[in-house]
Amino acid sequence: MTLSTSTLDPAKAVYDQSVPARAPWSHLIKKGQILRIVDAKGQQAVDTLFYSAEKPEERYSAQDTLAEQGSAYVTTGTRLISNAGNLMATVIADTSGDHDTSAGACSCEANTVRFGHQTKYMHACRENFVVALAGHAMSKRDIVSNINFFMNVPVLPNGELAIVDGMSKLGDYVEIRAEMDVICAISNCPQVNNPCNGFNPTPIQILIWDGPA
Amino acid sequence: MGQNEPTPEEYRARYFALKAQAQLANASRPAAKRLENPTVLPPELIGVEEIIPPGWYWTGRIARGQSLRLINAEASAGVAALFWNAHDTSERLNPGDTVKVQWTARISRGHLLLSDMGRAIASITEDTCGYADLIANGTTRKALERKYGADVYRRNSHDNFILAAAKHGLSERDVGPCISFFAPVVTDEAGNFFWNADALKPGAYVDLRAEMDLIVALSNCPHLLSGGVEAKPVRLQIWNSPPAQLDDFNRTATEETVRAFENTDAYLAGY
Repeated sequence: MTLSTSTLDPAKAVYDQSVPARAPWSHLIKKGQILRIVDAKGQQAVDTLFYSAEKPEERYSAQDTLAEQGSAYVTTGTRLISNAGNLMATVIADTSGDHDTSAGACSCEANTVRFGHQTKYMHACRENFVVALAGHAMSKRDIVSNINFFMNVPVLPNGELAIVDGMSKLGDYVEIRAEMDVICAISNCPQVNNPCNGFNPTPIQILIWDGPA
Repeated sequence: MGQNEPTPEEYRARYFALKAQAQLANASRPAAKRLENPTVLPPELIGVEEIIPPGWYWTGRIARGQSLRLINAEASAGVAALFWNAHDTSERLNPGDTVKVQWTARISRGHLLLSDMGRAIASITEDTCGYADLIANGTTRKALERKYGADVYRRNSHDNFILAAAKHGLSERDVGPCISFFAPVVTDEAGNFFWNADALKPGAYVDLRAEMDLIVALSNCPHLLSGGVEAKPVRLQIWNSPPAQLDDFNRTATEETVRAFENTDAYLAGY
């Protein structure tokens, strides 16, 4: 992991919004703008996807991103690569450490398999993504493997993979610089069946700055 | 939120109990009782047989209960694959769920492929290689140009998948993340990837039993982490495999796989 802080002044942000626990969010981030996602209370997974604003069939690709990076976690310096092989965005600050992009998002249907059929009617990230993407003329078929900021999923040498307690502390943040105009869709993860939110979903804060003119 | 909502402590206890069960199941999996697929398939069982040339793709349909065998005779460095529900292509392979639900990134014999709808779509009934990768594969022309230079045109999986999808009336939006068979990607303690070339032996094969009618796309392009080796021809056979019994190895492996099949069975029953 490569930890790094930012010198950006929140007072100069062009966008500063709290996203409630369990809620979807989406927004256009213009090329050069910087997005900051703040884990306001700590231990809160933030499921995140990126789509080219110009051509939404171009979108974030977790597999291309990790293959080009040669390692399994997202942190400062990670170049977020699209399914067309283009650079969409770069992680430029990270105060908490290795973020997952292998385990995907929770869904009502996957919850039934993982945690039992009684969990079918619990709000889930893929429900949030469907709602967020509907506002951009996209649907379930457009959902791909996402980044889980502040979610800790070690992939061990024996292949074992499991979600463990998030390491993020109150106020931890990541910053991502858009390298093309992107639609960013976020699910502030509502999951309580595993440790990704410390079993207690909480609000996050999202800020956007214009890049250096 | 009902009156009987479990406490965070109860949710935590349940999660770690499930994890411990899965670790036990994964550890005992190689010893589990199972049907042995024939090493060499009798010709009367084979419906389709084809050689996928280096760099090329194959696409077609596999009916529920039939199996797809991939034979890697010359130890080619990975075959990438996508799977869609043939009757509703918005349902497709979900690599994240496949690794998360089975608590392992090393998906092999005895494991399932899961769709985004919480259903078992295929069972890996045999895998003599032992490695499939669902986490990393650079599949684009641009990735290959960055890695090997732009002076040689190389076929790539992303374009192959768009071509395969087009032949079913599908498009780039339907091309999600893939699984790569014969792809021994391993991580070290820090999460760095390594290509374990020693795990690729000529003649390794994988059997996938379709658990619903599927559209399949296969791309015979080397995995990006394999280090620039040339693809070799890969043989595919679609064969009449024996129907799964109630005590089937794949259906009964873990608590999670039982539920994935319950979801598939309900869907196939028309619910």
